[in-house]
Amino acid sequence: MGLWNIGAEGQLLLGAFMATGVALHWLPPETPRPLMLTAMALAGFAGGALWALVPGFLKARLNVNEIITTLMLNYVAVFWNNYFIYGPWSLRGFGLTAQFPKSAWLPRLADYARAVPAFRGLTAHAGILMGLACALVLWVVWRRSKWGFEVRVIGDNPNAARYAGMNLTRNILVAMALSGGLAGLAGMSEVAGVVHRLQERFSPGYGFTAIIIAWLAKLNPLAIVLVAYLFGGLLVGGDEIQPAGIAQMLQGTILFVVVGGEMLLQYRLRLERHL
Amino acid sequence: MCPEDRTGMGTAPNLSVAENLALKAYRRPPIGGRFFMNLMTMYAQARELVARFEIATPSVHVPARKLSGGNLQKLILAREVARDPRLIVAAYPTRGLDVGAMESVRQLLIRERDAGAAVLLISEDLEEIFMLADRIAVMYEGQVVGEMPAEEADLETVGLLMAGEQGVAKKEAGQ
Repeated sequence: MGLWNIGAEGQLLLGAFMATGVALHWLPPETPRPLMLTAMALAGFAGGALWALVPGFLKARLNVNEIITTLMLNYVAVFWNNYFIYGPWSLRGFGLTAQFPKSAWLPRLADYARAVPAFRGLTAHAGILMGLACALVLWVVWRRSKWGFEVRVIGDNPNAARYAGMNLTRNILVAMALSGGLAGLAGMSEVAGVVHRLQERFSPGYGFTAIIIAWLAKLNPLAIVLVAYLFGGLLVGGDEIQPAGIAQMLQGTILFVVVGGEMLLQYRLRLERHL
Repeated sequence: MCPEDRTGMGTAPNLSVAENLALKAYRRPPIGGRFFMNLMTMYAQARELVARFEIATPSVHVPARKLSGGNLQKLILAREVARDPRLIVAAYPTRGLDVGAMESVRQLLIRERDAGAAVLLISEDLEEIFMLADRIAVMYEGQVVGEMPAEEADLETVGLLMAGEQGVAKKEAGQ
């Protein structure tokens, strides 16, 4: 059984929403930065996790197709955020909120240039470290832990997992929550590290690109780091070249070719001439 | 329990031989810790089981789907038997196996019986049943219609029971 989460985009938006709530409304701006950022990260994770738990629950309890429900919740998430950035949290009715207080900004690598000269001019923010840490932890959990073992067995053959006495319902819920939570954390990192506010379309579809990256990396968390880096290059490069959109087109083509070429890894094509 | 469907339920095809051997043992020590698994112990145990049950595989790291049907069946039995079960339910354990593999699976079940385990063999292969069983029970339409020690059973009685002879007799009595 594969469990598909096509809703990373929506979970990312909800993570950003929750982090914004913490930064602008639920904690005072003079909160110390470590406390503020930790609270935002936790809230972001929780936002994404809860958003993913809805389809997770439907899947685990009622066997509702999670591909459809996670996908659809993306659109709900867009309008959820739009309500707040045009309504209660809006800055004069525009599609954005006020800027976060400085305590809610993720530090950039360049901020530490005095201590580590190599960081001079690096605008990458601490989110990249969060991402690397998550990938590493996930890899260890996936390969070494009892829970990771269960997830791999269920993913490969749910009947064998059931027969071995594994709890499918609980594992589906935990996997979905974890997946959504990580997407939510990405949303938090994006608003706290880059845009410093919640605004409309702050994500150019990161949640969808994530699916392509995960698939290209054969679902291996360490390989995801490498593929994500390369795709990041593609996205950033895409900002520079004309016509715009070439990068997305390349993304799509790459996925298409890789998925389509999968068959050629399993089978050998042979042309025969019948006379 | 040895499920009737080797690939459908008994194994996870893309996981390694070692992981399939640990499909049930992963929870408790020595393999399962509080949160993590002791992979070294898992591999050591797998290697020991592979040797003891003569599972032909290049290593314990290859995916289970690379194994032949007979070796897969041996893997499943090794996994179950390694837990020192008091009861083994073996459903069609030799179906689709070659003669050699069949023989080793049967030997394994007999060894377990001799070691004190109760073995419930479910099979439609009469030859196999007569070869292995101590007692034979025949089912027809979901009911046990006859049960006898193997020495007293002969092909004809069992065959008639399987065909529902008793059911026919009951119907006649009812009329």
